[in-house]
Amino acid sequence: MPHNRFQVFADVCVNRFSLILGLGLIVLLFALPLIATVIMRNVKVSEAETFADAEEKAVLIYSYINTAGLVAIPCAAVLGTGLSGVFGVIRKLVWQDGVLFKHDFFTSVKENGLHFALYSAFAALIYYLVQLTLRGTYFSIDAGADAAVVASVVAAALYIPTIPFSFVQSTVYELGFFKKFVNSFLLAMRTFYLTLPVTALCLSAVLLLFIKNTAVFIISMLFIFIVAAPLCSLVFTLYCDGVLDKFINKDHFPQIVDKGIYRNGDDNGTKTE
Amino acid sequence: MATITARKLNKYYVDKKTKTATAVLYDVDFEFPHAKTTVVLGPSGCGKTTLIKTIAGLLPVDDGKLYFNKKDVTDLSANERNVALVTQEYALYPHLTVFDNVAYPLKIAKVPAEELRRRVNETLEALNIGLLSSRKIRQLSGGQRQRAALARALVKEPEVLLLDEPLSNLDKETRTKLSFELKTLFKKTGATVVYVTHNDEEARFLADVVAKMDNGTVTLVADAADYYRNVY
Repeated sequence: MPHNRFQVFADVCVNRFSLILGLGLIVLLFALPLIATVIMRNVKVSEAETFADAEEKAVLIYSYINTAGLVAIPCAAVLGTGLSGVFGVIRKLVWQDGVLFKHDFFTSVKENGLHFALYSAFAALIYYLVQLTLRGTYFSIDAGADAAVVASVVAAALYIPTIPFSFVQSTVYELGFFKKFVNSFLLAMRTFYLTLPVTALCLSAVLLLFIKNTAVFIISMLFIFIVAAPLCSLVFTLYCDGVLDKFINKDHFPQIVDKGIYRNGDDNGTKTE
Repeated sequence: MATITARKLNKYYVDKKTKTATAVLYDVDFEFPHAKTTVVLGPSGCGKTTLIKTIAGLLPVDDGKLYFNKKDVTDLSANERNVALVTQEYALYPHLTVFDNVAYPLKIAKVPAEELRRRVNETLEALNIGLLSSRKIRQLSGGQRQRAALARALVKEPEVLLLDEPLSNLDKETRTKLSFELKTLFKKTGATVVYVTHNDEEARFLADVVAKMDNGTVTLVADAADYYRNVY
């Protein structure tokens, strides 16, 4: 029986890995529009790179990347919808509840899908703005380009750590979108020193996509969505549960503090046989 | 809960080589009262397991009638009888979790998800294995597996609960502990229980009614208190 959150992680990986992979396949399914967008962008950029005229090449590449960035926003919403179901199932796993896969997945999509979709779309929007401002600086489009870059990067740095809290809260509490965002922001800021590296670690797999090799790119895609995404969802859930227990649950919802973890004395009858 | 009545039950095994039939159950007559625990005693090979399987619907009878509360169930399949069977081999799926094993009969019966979850969790708590819900069967001890098997039987809320030496693979301490829990559980569920055991202590402790078998026939059905007063 797991006695701390690290053991819960190990327990799920060892004993329920097939379920994790199943969730990963679902993530891949919901990620297909986003993957298609990225692949199309890469193909178009590669085509543009063959142009002899440097200015025309730059304008074409810039427009392809911009367009892909905009198209990625609704694609991210689709992915977010899928993740809502994934987090719902992972909630059951982490709390050592029985999992009714189809029911738990679709119930979570029904209850949290919109929130996840909006949050993911907003994340994609911020990413788009960061890219836009960086390219704006490169092309010297605007005198305030540097300020815009700083603003967009700061916005990203403040928004990204709220994502795990927002997602995990959705599977625990019934709150409105804005309330969840405010809670997530406050929790993320209070635990910034730990949340940022945990989030960065989980998202680091995305760096594999920058390796310029088609085979590596495809394998990385598959690895990221089928393996890394559900495992990161599990890590986020466990990490955020610890923070939620510390700042919210211990005072307001003591019945769910350490749920799924068997501290000493909780085994009650299960160790005697 | 159901009164189990048998009238002239006969079950033969036919030797295919010699074409001779051997009676495993011969003119079996009994009435096991509803909501009571009937312990079936008898020497090895007398037909106790065959009787249990016949009541469960796993073996067809060759002659005679079987009734649950005056309803003729003789020709009904196992699925059509509201019966649950627990054996000493547990018959659990080792690759599934405790929750999935216990939920299985309810999934087959297409019970809605929320009701399924409630019933499974309540049953697991009743058997003190709520904390083991997400464990795989292979991670459990013998006693825990038997509890899981019992949970799977009880979650169906059967009219008739059949147990064929369920504790025989367990050590003495676990047997004693589980016996106490079983007695409480049987009273709580109100099911009609038919319990086969070789263990005298277990039989004395659990029985409301004693049925004795010998050579394929039921020779005695008596109130347990009367039976043991006369025996000892």
